[in-house]
Amino acid sequence: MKRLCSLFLVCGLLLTAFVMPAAAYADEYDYEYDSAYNDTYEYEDDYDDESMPLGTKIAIAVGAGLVIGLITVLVLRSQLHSVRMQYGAASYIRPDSMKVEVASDMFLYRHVTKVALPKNDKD
Amino acid sequence: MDTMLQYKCPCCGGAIEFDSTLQKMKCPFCDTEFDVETLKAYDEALKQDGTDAMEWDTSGGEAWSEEDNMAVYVCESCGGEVVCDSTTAATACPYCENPVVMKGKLSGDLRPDWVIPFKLDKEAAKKGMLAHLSGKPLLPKAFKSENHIDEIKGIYVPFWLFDADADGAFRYKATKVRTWSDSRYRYTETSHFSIQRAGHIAFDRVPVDGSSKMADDLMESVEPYDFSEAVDFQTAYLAGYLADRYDVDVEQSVERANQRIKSSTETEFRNTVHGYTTVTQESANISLSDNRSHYALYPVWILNTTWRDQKYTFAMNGQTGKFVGNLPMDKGAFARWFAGVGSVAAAIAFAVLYFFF
Repeated sequence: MKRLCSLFLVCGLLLTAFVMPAAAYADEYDYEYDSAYNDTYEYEDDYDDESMPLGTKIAIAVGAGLVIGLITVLVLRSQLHSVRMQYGAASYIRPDSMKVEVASDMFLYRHVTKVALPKNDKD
Repeated sequence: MDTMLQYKCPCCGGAIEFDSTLQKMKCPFCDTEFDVETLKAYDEALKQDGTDAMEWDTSGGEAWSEEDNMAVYVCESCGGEVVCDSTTAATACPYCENPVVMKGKLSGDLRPDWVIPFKLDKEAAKKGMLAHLSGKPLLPKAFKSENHIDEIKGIYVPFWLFDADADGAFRYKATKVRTWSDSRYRYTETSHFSIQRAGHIAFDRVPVDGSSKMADDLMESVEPYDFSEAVDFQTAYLAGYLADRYDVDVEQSVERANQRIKSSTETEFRNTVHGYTTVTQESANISLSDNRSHYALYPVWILNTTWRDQKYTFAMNGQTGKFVGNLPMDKGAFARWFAGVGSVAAAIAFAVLYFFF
């Protein structure tokens, strides 16, 4: 009698430890497989939406429009001004007249600075 | 008795001391360290800084005589004086379009050494004007139709021409920057250098406008002229054209010539310094030798026009055809282009941001 009870107890333990979890896993697997196949799986919605807010997009677009518009009209306006003093006399340098007689590059000193890199706090 | 030698710190200007621990010179104010030999060489370079020596020999050439048969016309409205030969009659002032009267025969003034004859005729000048007005969206449409293109005049403008050999000595401060990182820090290493350049460069016939009636910026804008086509002056070249009479003498023009020569000399020597992140000029001195000045007449087509009470002057190089002249702006067209281009750019930017970000 005692041996029979022990046998039933061991079997029960084995069922609890291995067979029932396996069966539950199989049920869950069947559910996930079937629902994925039928496209009815309910996803957990814990994904964070990292796209730019609409207001920021509008502000950037308006800023880009202002800058590009301004650059364009300033270039067109510069076409109307062609009178300016010459900076130097480059057109009047006698060809091959330039001679460099002293060319000295002297090292003086060196500085090294360092900036700590920001640490990432992601998990 | 020994004199105490004191070196200035190239970094902060403080007085440097010898650090016996490091066995090097060290600045107590900025903690920068230097080799003794480096400081000695830098100090020697500083002692060589000097001042500019840009004097000119402005003794003149031949003068006009009455036998040259040149007539002087004066404008009683603006005071402008023009000269032309006896076969040409001047009727309108090229500066303000008012009538001119003959003053007398030209004599005593300096006679030009050279002239560059007109290479382009009035038709070419008119075409140049039309090309100058086209392809400019911000130019008022009425301006194109209201200018008096037939009144364009060919005039010889007096120029002082300056030849010089320039010796320059320059000192620069330069840096080389290098960066690298490890897991914890970003490092920036800045190496400082003292650069010296000295040498020689020559200039031929740098022109400076000799007429106060011709705006200097307008005359410099039509440059350069090709002197290889210049000829010894003969009055026959003036036939059919007016010549502006110089009223800015050579001493007054020297300063502008010096300015241009100095700017170009600094630029050419600065361009010999390569391989640095930053280069700053600390000192420059230029001295001129073998310098001479000459007087020449250069050809210019001139048109003065008035539009909405504003005077506009256009000039074309009578040798090369280069056309210059500031134009008015249509403010309405400016606003329309700004709004149009800005709107299109904003729409494209928004579309890109909306679909991709």
